[in-house]
Amino acid sequence: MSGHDTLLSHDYDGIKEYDNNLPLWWLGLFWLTIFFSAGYVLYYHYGPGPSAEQVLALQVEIAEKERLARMPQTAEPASVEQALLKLASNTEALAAGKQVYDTRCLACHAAQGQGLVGPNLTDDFWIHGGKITDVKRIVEEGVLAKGMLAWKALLSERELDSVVAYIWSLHGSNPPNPKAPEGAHVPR
Amino acid sequence: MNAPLESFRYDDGIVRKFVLATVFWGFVGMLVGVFIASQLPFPALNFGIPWLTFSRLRPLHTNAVIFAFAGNTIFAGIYYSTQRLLKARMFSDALSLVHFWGWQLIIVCAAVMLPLGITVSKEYAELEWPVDIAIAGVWVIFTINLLGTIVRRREKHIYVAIWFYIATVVTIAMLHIVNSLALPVSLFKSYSVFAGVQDGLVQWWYGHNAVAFFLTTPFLGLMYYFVPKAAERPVYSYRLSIVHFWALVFLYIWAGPHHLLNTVLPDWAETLGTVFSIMLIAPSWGGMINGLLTLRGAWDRLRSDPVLKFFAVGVTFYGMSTFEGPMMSLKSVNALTHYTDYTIGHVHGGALGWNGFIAFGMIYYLLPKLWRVPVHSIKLMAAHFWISTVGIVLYITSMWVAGIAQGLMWRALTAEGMLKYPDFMETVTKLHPFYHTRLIGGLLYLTGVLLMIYNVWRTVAASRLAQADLSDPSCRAAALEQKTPAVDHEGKSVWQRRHRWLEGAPAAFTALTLVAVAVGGIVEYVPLAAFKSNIPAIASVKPYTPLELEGRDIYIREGCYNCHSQMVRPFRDEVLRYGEHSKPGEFVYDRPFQFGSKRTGPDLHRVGGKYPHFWHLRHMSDPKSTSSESIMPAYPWLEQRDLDTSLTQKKLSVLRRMGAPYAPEVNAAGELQSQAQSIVGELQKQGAPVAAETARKEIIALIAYLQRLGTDIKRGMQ
Repeated sequence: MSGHDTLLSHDYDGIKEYDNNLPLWWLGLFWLTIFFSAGYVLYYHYGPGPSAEQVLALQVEIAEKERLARMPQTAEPASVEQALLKLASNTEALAAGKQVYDTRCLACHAAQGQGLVGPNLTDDFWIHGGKITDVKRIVEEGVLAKGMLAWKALLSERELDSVVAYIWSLHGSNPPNPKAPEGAHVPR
Repeated sequence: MNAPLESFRYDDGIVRKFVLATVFWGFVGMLVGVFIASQLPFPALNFGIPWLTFSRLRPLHTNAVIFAFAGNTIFAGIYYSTQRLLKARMFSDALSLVHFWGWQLIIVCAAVMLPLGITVSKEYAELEWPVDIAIAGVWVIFTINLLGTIVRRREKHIYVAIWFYIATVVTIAMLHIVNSLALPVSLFKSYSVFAGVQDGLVQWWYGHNAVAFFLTTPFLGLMYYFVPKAAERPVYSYRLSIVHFWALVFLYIWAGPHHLLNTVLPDWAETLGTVFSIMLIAPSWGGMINGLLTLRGAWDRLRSDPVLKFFAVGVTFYGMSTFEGPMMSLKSVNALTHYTDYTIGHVHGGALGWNGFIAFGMIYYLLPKLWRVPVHSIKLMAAHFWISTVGIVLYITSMWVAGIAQGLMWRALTAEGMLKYPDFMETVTKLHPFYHTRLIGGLLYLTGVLLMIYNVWRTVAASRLAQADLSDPSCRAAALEQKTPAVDHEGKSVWQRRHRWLEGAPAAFTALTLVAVAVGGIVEYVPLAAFKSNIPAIASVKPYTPLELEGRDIYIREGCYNCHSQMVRPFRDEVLRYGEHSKPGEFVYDRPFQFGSKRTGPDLHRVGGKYPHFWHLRHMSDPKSTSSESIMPAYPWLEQRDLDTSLTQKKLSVLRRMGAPYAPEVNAAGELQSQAQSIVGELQKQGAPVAAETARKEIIALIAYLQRLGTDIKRGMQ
């Protein structure tokens, strides 16, 4: 190849230049990208190419259909309560719940549930209802105005259930330095 | 017939100055880089000191490496090669000196102001307006000096390196001036004349083309001079240099929107960003081919000559980065890589591999020429090469893996259609091994630079010791005869002959370059600004309250945008994670925009109302108190410092002049205080141990801003 190189008469501070042709593969690549670009514009702006918003709408639609198909007959509230209460005596679930509690809840409700910023979780007083399903609802939805986060988005269903079970199991543990009772008296 | 030979001397003193500045600032910029890279896996290294936090130092790192290290590299190379390629001394020694010292002064200003939080937050254009004016001034001086030298040249035709230098000076001036347009509030505070989506487009038109015309075209110019000189081989193809030069400068400008793919930028603009990036592959590779094929016949010398090693690998990294970039400009690829460390890997492939290695090769090539003694140690040069190469490989591979891993985790869904990793923190803790690897890579690269510093120091010392003659080299050449026909009849085609004519007419060449680089920006910006349909108005979107505005300015001062985006993309996982995807009309009062480009932490566009005030209060003073594994620096000073409200009223009036519907009689201080007091009241209700005087603190303004973010649209829906 270099045998055919012809030097131009250019000389800049000793730098010379060959008069080589554009490499064919390079030229081909350039044209390819130009054709690709034309095709891209045609497909997305004058053809069936969907916008990101359209793709999203379709995905949401499909996900909603799948969710409805998957959903069993609505569980009886009573059975949800039963299931949670059962979990509250399952040592494995409680251990998992403690782990979630220690990373997520401890900062506000203190290490043993005695309350700090958030209320005491070990006494008989409940601000938002004293059933285990109430506890689950508050953990899921939060009470933003008072500083309680909605954990639904951050924790899986299993983690939510286990931490609720763990909180439920703390009842009557009488930890030191408890926060003063808040809310209505709901004895178990 | 023959004109008499004129005697003149090249100014090598100015080149020596720029070379030493390059070495010094390269070390500083890379040291800051290694330091902030260590803060990600070890957040304690923020030391709780405002000016040492990652968010304040990251802009210093980028500015130092781009404008101080690469900038001084360019100037050294341009001042050295231009004189020789044009057979003329620089136009004015005085301008050369003003250029040198002015630029160093600007760098020092940046090094002081950025850590202090004096920033406009537009990436790689963070400096406030007085410094922007100084930059423009020094740039004009450089331009006059360069163009003046061209006018006084003794070489009829300008060589391809000079074409790239011309494209650089013209385009950087245009980009810098337009992107920096702002109305000042005070000496250290201004608001962009562009807002929201327009501001984003202008910024990334600038940001992308700073890469193009500060880190690419001048370095290609350097390559076209130093590679054939060092290899002592002719340039592979003159024709290729013509085609790829014009294709590159024309196409590059259009590609800015690829930094805003899948965002609120209109689809047509995003498409332009994508297709022009794809079309850039070949023109970029044209430069790589011309560099690498110039080494034909000199490959054996690569074994013994570290200068050629640096050039060959540098040019190869250029080829790699300019293929990777266009791939990342495809929407589907970008959806995965954007906001992750993948981008960090990409830019460092370019900065460490291409810019760094061309700079190092050039410095080693210049050392014996400028100080007139042999380089102290060839072995240390080779060691520098190998250590730095390993450093780059560790750096970019770890960031590739980190980026892809995190991108996949963000979008992973369970069979139930829920986020598999709903807690953002989970996707961060997994990155620690990669952050460590990157740190090692960066340290290796810096070690290589230390070897170079030692080598430079010893070489300069040897030159002093030997009392080497550092006087300017003299040269003789004939003056240019204006009547000489500009065309030599060498070109095969009519186009080649016309181009040859153009090379002999630098004024026409410069004008044509300006046209080529202006088109893309005009075609993209004007319709975006002119047609309201691009940014549908949302009635419920209102300007920020005085307190929120002050909070926003604190957000900018602290550099939150370095790690948090404000842009929920229309993807299923992002809508699940963050909420409704962002709309263009939501940003119309954002001056400057805060879309961000990296999510070291989660997106914040829908953070308003997501957490209670108390959560933010605790999170800012100690992020680990709310997320035990957080790598965010603590911002305890926000709780201690009183909010400076002396400019609030003026800020409102400046924003009103730019169209924000604040009532002229608005009582900024009163409104600010009452909102602050109500936030403190709510904090107390949430159990926060705050006194009434907390209402005066900066943290309250920041909370007000964060709680406002992304909420206007909800108010509209209710």
